Amino acid sequence: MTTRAKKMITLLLAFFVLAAAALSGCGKATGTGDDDAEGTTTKATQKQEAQKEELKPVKLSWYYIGNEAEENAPEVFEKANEMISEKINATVTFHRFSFGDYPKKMQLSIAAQEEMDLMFTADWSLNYAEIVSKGALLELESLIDGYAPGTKSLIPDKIWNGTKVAGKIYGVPNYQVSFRQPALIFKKELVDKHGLKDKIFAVQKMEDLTPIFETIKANEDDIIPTLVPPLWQKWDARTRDEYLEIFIGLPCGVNYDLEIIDTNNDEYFIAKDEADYKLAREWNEKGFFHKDVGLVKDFTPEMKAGKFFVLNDVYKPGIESDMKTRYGYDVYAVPMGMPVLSTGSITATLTGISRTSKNPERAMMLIEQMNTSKELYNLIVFGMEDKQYKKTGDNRIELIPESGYTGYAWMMGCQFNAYFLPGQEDDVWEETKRLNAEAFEAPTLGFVFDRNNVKTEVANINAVSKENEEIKKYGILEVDEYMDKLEESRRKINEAGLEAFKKELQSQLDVWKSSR
Amino acid sequence: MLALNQKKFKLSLALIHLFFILLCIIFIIPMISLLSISFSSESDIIDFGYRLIPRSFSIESYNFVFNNPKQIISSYRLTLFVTLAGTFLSMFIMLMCAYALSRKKFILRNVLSLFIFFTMIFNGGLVSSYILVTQYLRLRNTLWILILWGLVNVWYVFVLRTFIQGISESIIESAFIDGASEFKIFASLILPLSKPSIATIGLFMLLQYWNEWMPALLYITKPHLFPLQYLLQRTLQNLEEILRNMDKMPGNAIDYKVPSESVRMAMAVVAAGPMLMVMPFFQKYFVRGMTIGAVKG
Repeated sequence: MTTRAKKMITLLLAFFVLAAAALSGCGKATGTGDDDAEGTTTKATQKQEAQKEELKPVKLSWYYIGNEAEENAPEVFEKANEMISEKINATVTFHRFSFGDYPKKMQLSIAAQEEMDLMFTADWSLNYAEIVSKGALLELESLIDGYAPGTKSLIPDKIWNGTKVAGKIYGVPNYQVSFRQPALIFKKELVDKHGLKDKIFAVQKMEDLTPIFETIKANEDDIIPTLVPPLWQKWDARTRDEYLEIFIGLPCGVNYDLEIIDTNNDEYFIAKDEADYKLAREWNEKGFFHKDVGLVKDFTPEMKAGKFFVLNDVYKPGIESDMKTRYGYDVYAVPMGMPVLSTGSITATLTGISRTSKNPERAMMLIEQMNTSKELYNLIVFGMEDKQYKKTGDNRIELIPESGYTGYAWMMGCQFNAYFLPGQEDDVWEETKRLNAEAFEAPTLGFVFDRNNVKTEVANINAVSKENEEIKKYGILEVDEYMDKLEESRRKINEAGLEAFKKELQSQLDVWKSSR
Repeated sequence: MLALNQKKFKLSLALIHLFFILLCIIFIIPMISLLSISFSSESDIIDFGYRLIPRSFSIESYNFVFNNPKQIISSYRLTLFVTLAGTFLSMFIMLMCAYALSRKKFILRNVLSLFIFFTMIFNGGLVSSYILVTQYLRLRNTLWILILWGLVNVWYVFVLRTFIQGISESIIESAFIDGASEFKIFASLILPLSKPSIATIGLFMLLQYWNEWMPALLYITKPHLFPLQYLLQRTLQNLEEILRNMDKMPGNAIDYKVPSESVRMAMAVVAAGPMLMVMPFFQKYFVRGMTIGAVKG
């Protein structure tokens, strides 16, 4: 009890200190940003001279997510270092932390101003916008111009734009599929067995799934029709006019014309919410959901055992082969909604250079190598030939299981360098590039909402939405009962400060619009 | 009249018993279900859900825990060492400190008390201690940080002091007259007389060291220095992080090895087991120890 109390106090104090550090960091970023930018431009102009001279050997450190306990990693990294030192005369220490640890460890290292060179950052892990506002990352524009021309031309301008915070680039995107589109993943075996293929590809809205699930429910005893609940924001928007960007999960969004739409109080959207619930309730009553839904958080074992007819994932070309390796059965992937290119989808995987780096130029050269050198990229992602993978074709490999090394292709540079894995078509990268180019550009591309001013309101609103989340998703209560709850939760959300959030969002949008 | 009284008495007794039996059941059922899940096969869990008695007995998950990764064995060894060494060292230091603070003759007693007490209310926070540990003490990725973190608990020091104050001053005086040195008095008189408090606080420290994973999260990046609890904690945190961000991640992460349900439970059993065994040995001191600190000196 007392230790707990003490820990609470410690945590609280730690929180205050972190908050203070964040604030002071913020001030610093705006204060010194310009000086540094100048510094790097002069460095960039001196670049030619520098390159004429022999590059001095330097040490770099690279922080990203991975499994630090892998036994064969040192071997792979040694080989990678041979390559890297040959090319840019640098030795890299690879620091990998696991998914859960990465943001926590890095936040501390940043607060303590430890010397680091490269780091992985994203909108979902070590939050990009947040560490930029703390001043943890270097502004990269001049470094990119000076040391990474290949990378610059490789990545289209609109994607660079997505990484800009207040007009400046602080992270190099790991170029790959850059849009987000939700997909329904159907179990192929069952679709073929019941001749549902035409039907599933004709699905436009979630309600179209009901007859399909009925067939499955009636004929397959062991199969649970769906893990996916209806949710109009996610699945049903198919046109520009229906488009609504939702910020940090709040019942409030921005439409194509950059107008703020309050879905909590707008009749049209309330009706949509209600329709969603009725559908969820119908599915629930017909037994389309898992019986423990709402209680069990992790359905991975059931997913792997092939218990579900429909799952969801993020669409990209070649996803069928990914799903096959993940779940062990063949699937059909049906893209839903629209492919959207947004700040979030672009900042989902970036590599930044730390402000504490002593060799930012060399770090940028390493990024350039990861984007342009196929050999190095594939070594770090897939490991060594005949140890971690077998070559099955010119550009095609098969991974050896339990090989003691894994890398993530999406975290480490330009994925279009990657070898093809079994099930990936030869044109998968061409197709991805094409879809990237065609994707719908979110009107807010480049805008990041900074929640610092409305932290309390956001937390309060989230707390209210969380209360009924599972009930809402899976239709756990009777419709009438839920409608009362919905009414009440809507009122509570208003009270929790939705208006303040809207004001803040509007003012940030205005500032952003005028800075464009 | 008498019969009525007796009946009344029995009824209340029965109620009390019932209450405690129910309470025990509430405490025990999760333990049993934990054990049961860890001994179930994965397919049984998927098909039939969680049960109090496994449908078919399987030690598959324990095989996985102990055979597959060497990690868990090395973590086990490490945690065992840190727990024993840490508890020993910590008790030694806390007792010496408490003894010094308990002596009325000690001039710096009040100053030192305040000094120590101060840390209980205020501390430098996470970032400054992180900087101290990593940049000045250079204890990152060492065994020492696991032991030194939480070596002294101020609250326990005061509890121990209060207990030692309860020992009659005249014992110390007579030993002093017999020519015993301060350390001799401490080692041969105070220590044996403080057994109940040592046992109680020792158990708390033992539990604290056994369950601690924070220092590892902050300061350990080398897998061979991962304590057991950190290993478990990490597994759950990873799972949570991946599930939470599934929609936002640009690619697969689920192939990051997520142990199955039964393996997770087996890990929990393995991690909690030794502490369950230790408990009965402390039992006899524990009840007496519970009252220490109740009498204010």
